[in-house]
Amino acid sequence: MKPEYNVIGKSLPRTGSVDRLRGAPVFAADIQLENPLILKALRSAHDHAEVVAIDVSKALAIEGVVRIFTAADIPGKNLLGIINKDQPLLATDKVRSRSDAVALVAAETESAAHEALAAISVTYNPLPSVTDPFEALKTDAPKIHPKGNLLFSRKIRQGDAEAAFAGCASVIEKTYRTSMIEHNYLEPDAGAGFVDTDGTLVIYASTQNPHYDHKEVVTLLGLGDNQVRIIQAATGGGFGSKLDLNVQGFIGLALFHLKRPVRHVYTREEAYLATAKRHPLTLTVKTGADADGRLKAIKAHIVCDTGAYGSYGIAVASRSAVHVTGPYEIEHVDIESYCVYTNKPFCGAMRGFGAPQVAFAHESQIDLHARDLGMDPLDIRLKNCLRVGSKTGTGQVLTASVGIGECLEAVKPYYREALESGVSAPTHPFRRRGIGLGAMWYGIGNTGVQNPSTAGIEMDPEGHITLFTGCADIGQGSTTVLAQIAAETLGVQPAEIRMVVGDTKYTTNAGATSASRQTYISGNAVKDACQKLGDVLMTEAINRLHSPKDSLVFQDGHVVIKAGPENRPEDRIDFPCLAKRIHAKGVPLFWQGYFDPETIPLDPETGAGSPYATYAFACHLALLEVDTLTGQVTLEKLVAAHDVGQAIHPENVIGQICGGAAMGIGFALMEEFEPQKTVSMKDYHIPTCADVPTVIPIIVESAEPSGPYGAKGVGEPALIPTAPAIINAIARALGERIYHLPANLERVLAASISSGHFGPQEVTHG
Amino acid sequence: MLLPKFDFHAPETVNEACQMLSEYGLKAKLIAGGTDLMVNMKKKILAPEQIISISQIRELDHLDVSGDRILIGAGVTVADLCESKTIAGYLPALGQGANNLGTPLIRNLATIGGNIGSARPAADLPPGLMAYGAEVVLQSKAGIRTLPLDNFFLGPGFTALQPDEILTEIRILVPPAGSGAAYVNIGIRKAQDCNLVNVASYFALDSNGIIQNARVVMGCVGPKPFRAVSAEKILIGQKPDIQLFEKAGEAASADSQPIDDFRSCATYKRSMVGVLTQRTLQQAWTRIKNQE
Amino acid sequence: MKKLIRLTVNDREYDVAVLPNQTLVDVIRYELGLTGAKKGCEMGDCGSCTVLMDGKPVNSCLVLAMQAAGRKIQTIEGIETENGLHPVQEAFVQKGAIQCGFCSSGMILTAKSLLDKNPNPTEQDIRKSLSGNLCRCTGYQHIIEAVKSVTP
Repeated sequence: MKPEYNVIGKSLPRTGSVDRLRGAPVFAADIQLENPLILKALRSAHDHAEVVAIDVSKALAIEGVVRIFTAADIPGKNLLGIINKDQPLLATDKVRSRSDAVALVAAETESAAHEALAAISVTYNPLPSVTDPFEALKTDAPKIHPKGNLLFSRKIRQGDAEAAFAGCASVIEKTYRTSMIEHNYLEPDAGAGFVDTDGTLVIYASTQNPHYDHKEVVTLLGLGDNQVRIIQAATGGGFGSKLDLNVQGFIGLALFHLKRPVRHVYTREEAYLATAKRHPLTLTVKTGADADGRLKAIKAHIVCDTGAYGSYGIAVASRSAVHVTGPYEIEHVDIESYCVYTNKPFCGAMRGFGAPQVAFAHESQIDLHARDLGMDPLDIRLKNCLRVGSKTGTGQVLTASVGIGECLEAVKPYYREALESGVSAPTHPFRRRGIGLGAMWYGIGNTGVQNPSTAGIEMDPEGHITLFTGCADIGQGSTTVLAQIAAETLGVQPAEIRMVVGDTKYTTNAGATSASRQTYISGNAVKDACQKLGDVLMTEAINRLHSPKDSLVFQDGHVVIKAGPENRPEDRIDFPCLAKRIHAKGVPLFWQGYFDPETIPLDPETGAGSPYATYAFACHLALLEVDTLTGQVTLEKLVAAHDVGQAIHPENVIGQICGGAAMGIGFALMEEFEPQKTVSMKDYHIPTCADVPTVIPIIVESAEPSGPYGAKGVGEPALIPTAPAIINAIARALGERIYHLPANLERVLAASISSGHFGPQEVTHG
Repeated sequence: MLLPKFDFHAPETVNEACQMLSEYGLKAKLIAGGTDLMVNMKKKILAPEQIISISQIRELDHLDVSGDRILIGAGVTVADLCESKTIAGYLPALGQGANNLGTPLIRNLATIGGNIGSARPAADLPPGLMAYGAEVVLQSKAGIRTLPLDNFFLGPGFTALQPDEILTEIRILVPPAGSGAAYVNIGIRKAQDCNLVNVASYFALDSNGIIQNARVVMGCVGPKPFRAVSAEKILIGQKPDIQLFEKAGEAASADSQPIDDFRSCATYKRSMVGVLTQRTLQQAWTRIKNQE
Repeated sequence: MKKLIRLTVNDREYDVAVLPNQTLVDVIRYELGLTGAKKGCEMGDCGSCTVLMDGKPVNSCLVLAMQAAGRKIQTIEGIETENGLHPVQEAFVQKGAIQCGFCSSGMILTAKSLLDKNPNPTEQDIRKSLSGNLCRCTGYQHIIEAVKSVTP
């Protein structure tokens, strides 16, 4: 029986929508400041070079140039990084990629700032560079960081994979490659700041994690926590790239020295050049299945190219190792994943942290086994998928909320219908239709490390409720969802709760808006805070209503004796009344909530552990048509079934599913970032609305007992199964498979040629 | 993103604009829709000292059929071409180019004159126009001259336009009965793309159903849009059929001179010239048959 | 050298001193203080800066402010009526068509101009019309549903 909720599961109007669609100045580039200075960073001219000297004298002489900063101007620690600290804000002794900032200009006007950039003279001593991660691992490769080019490795070993392959009826080994991907959020990175009357440096930033920004800026400038305040401006998409410090450090540095309002807005070119990318992965995966199609063993070797800096690279290597088994039970596991430095733009978090890349591999493998064994791709997935009681590759036993089977069953009718309508039968001389499945699992939160969230709830003596959360809403709608969770817990309407979001002066750390963690983790922190406040209200109400606690509920801003036959006024008491009384007694009406999912770190040698407290699951089905003479792929339909535990806000969930699917289409068919070649949006192709088909979203709710009202997450899962489904559909259409993403026109055409579909064709007249 | 510094002029007549051009010469650039020039200035490829806007010159806005000719003012926007019944009726290959050019937003700004004048090898309108045998009218203080569009393009960004000349009009003979044309382009996306390859084909049949005249024009596979002469030779004098189109496609492929770039490799572009040549010929033929 | 031009924006006339090399989007944002038009790519590729010029949606990053003199410009700030939000804006709220909101102004203006011309567009019409306005959050589905839901 599904529980009945008041506001959970209802798609209420989202917070902040109206401001945005009226063009209100809510983004960092729009915020009005008095006479702000313009900041611009000078980027490296080399992939790898020693910085011998920086001469700013000519640039300083330009009218309107106020100051030029170099590393020497940084008062604190000039070393940044989310997991490992390896990235200077401004280059010191050397540059490791063209993304590296060498100097920062502050000028009265944009044109003076640009002129100054051109007038700064940097003397470099170029060093040999390496851009291929396999080359970078060789002993004689140029050393990018003092400790060498191998940043991190993750091993997962269970059973005896080698021995198990010997007993398999079908053994498949393939190498898969994915490309560097640009997040391409619509809003280029932006921030603004001023110095408050009390001397606090106030920084508005387009960010996914204001509290991380705060910690980094404080350390960078050697200041106390109270001397820096980060306020999250409206954030025009992030997808992982606005987790790193982009403009925040530059703004802090300028405010620190100049005490004048400043603004720093990246151009699209700079957003491409200087911010994180998705890691390109090279994976060699060997899997074995018995004659019944049951997967027995996997061996995987994964190389993640993290570019010049770590950012979230360690997390990507770790997560890709855990997830490469796919949402399947495999007893024998032998996985190695490496995170390697190269002299390329750095790679960091991007929607999925390696899971989209490995899903391409595991979903290709399972289709290959199906073909090898003459099985149906859906059947083989159903046969192998994780269930309650299954053991994962890290030895974690799943105890609840394993909805992959339900997701597969949910797409089944669409799949069968397409097959019955003869989807793959040739009907046209140069068009072939195909259908493909892509399944995935995704651990919610960070991999085997603590990642707590906190939240605060306050009731004033008049009974008004304010929720304080550091959780950055970057468009996915977390503010609305957290308000719903608070409202459900306290029996009020979300609109009655005032939300204070992403302001380090008032909110406490909610961690990053990443890893699909905010609904689950911050949702629980909010619920915890609300329950604490609720307890106080209840206790007071018991006193007033003379009724035991288990007879009381929250309802419409009251505590009410439930199930009374008549609704007598003496059976209820409103919040203002309770608040006044509690306040008078000096009992706090502000409560802090906390949640940290229960995980067990992965063993460094075997990888054994419970890296996540819960997993999301999904299956997509793609129906498409391939032009066998041009390689053009036209998507006809996508069906996307997602186990989200419980949809707090179904419309938001669907928004994530459709948005993720579109990003998955880009990943599958057209997106590829090539350093120095991809400079503007003319060179990087994200899907337009003409490229995206109608998506049929299916919400599966396999409630997670530890989730807030059963919820898990959906932000990243939305993207992960799309590309595998598309690639499998192309393979089904052509009978030839693509192992290198994107499956661009040339690669699809090459597959068409090798499958024999390209060539003199019978073309019907007219 | 900053634009270079320049002076701005907005003449109201072609004569006035010609006067300015004769004064400023190479220092000046004309702007109409601006969709190419603005990008080139932002990318710092061009930095003119004088910008002469011709968007307010009303005499460049006409689109008429006059006798046996279709006259299109250089200031006609691509959106206007998309919506024009004249274009859809007489010059569907040009309409296809217009409908595939950039985005709806770009089409509202971009003009036919600009799409020709910027001389991008991947431009959407020139192949169709050349397939129809279009002429361009070039005006300067000294007078007016006309030039077949075939002879107008010299290379990427380079044309036969003299520094003091303005492209004012495009003239196309009304295609005869028994003729048809089509345009097909390939880009990475279904909308708003820089083309990887584009081809327009035109042919006209005589009363015996023999191809008496044919033009096949390829874009993106050389420094400028140009004719696939050997493909045309194969077509002329023959009856249209699949095998013939296929042979013409092969010949066009051989005529193309694609280079590798980061959007696409030469081999791909070369084989696509063949495919698109076939497809445009096929569509052209369908159009002819639909007239009957 | 700055020159005084008269811009008609949202039915209001502004006399603004602009430089020849200022774009329309910069003048709207920085001189007139209307921040609804966004700068997403500045090359005419994303549509975030869309404004209506004589009723037609254009990339205001590709228009020189001086070229806009004498034209009728409409921005997102100018489409509300005395009854509140424009029906397209209202539909965007109702259908959850706004995620990060950066593309919304442009999307809404382009959709409005489509509906002004064709009150009953097909899904294909909508997809074609909006193909110059990029969105990275929504996958376009709720946006298209919103436009479809606006009834004449």
